[in-house]
Amino acid sequence: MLLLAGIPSEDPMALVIAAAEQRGVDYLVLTQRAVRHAGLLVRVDEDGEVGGRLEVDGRGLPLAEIRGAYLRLIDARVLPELAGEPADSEPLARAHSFTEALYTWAEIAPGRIVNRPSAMGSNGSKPYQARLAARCGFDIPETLVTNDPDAVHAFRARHDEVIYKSTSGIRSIVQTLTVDDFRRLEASRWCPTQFQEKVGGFDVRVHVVADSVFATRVTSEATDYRYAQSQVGQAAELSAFDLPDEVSKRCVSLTASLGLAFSGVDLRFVPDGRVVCFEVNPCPGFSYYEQHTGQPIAAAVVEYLTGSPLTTTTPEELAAEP
Amino acid sequence: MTSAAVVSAPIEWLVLCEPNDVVALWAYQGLRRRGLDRMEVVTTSMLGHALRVQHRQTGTGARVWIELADGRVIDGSSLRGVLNRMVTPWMAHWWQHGPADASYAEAELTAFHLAWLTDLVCPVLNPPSPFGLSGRLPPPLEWAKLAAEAGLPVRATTARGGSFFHEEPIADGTQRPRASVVVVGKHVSPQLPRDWADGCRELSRLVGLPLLGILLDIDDDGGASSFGGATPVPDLSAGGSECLDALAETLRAPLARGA
Repeated sequence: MLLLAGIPSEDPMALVIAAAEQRGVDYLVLTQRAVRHAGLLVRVDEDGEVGGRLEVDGRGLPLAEIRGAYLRLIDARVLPELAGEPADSEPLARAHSFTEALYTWAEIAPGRIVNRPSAMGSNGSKPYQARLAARCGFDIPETLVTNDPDAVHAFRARHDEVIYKSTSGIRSIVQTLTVDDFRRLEASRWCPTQFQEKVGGFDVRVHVVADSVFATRVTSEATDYRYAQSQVGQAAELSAFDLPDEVSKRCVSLTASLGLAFSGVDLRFVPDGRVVCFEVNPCPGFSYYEQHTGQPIAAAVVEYLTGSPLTTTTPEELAAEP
Repeated sequence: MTSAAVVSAPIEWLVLCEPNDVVALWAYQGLRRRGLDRMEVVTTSMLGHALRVQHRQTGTGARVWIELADGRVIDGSSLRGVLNRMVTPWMAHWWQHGPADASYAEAELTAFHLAWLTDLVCPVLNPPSPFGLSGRLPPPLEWAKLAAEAGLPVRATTARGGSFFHEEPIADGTQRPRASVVVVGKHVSPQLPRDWADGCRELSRLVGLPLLGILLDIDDDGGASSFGGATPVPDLSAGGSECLDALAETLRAPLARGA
């Protein structure tokens, strides 16, 4: 039995459900919006064995029957069913307790989990993750995190163009540093900001599922192709991309080193030959790429969860390979 | 702590801690007596009021420069070791700006500290994690599983959520006497029977925290009976002078971490 937990109508989850259905895999959808009516009990006994049970819509399931799980959970506070609930309300407390118990189970459960919660935090700091990418052989842009306007000016003088963005995982729109921004630099004294050399070239998003790789080339003139329509008035174009073997291996290695079974790796192929890694997304919204290219990413996730021969290697096994 | 007027040599060892961390001060004094004399205590409040910070990163290396308000400078290239007991970034002056800005600042400051500490090439005990600036703190159920894997006796532990939220606990919630031990790498202090010491070392390795405080439940005969909890920010004094000896040895290790 596979557990698919999240919002079923959300595109990535919908694709995984459809892939599981198509393959005749036994699965249970845990709808986060119905978590008020669900219960979870997780137990570790004196021998360290993990057990317990999940109850959903009156149906009880021993946790030991779940051999794989795909989780795409959101903060319970933004669920429509809990909108407006006071912070100390009983329904919200129950929802939080359920999510917490589910994450705890996902961390320690045997079987295949996409992804283990402890592996989901590395993109909470972009320069932190960049160092991990560099250790796997990727180039990283020259970066300065600072609260000193003078340092920013000196950094800008050394590069043709500089961009700035959030240092943390909070989503920000990547912007090119302009003369207008110089007038606002004093505000950075309150909180360090991340500046980077702007590197040219083309973007490739690589989805990694264990040792399977799906690369998509993204063509756009925007600084941040996710906002291409608003930045340059035209949506980005996506196409399947033939990734060089060495880059493919680095993506697999980086994903495994982060403890992930599934990732979205953002690369830029620079004209001077460098391959720069900007970010590894531990919960990729892959549907945008699959829907434009037809790449069977959802199918690969299901294959991994069921332990089928196509994707048999776990992150732990990959990380241990010489 | 040395005043800015006296400091002229670069800082070689750092104790990073919360402003009220008296254990950090105890460790600072003990480590200086063991020869780590260019050691400074820097609190999260001092970091929060830093005049200038710079963290530069390239593919092959990094540079860290933090100029504190009292004139002291943290230069990453001069550091030889860090005892890291930071829990959260200093936020006291942010809450007046409203929850949205404060929440954003907290995320940004946490990301900044996580990154520059990771880029240091000297030993950092404990290295930071995305889930905790002094290392990740697992929930009780995960601790129980890891402790069992490490060979330590554990009690059955349960977590409940949703409609099971208010059920009566299955496990016995009786408070038991406990003893504290401190693991520093391969050193365990105070001394324990071999199987218990091995289990504590293995737990430290499994959880990825080279500096770990472990609580052991004590039975009626005064011996250890089961694992009772753990923390990445231990009361180091529980390990006594042996713990300080081990800390000094570990912090002096030659460039054990690299970028």
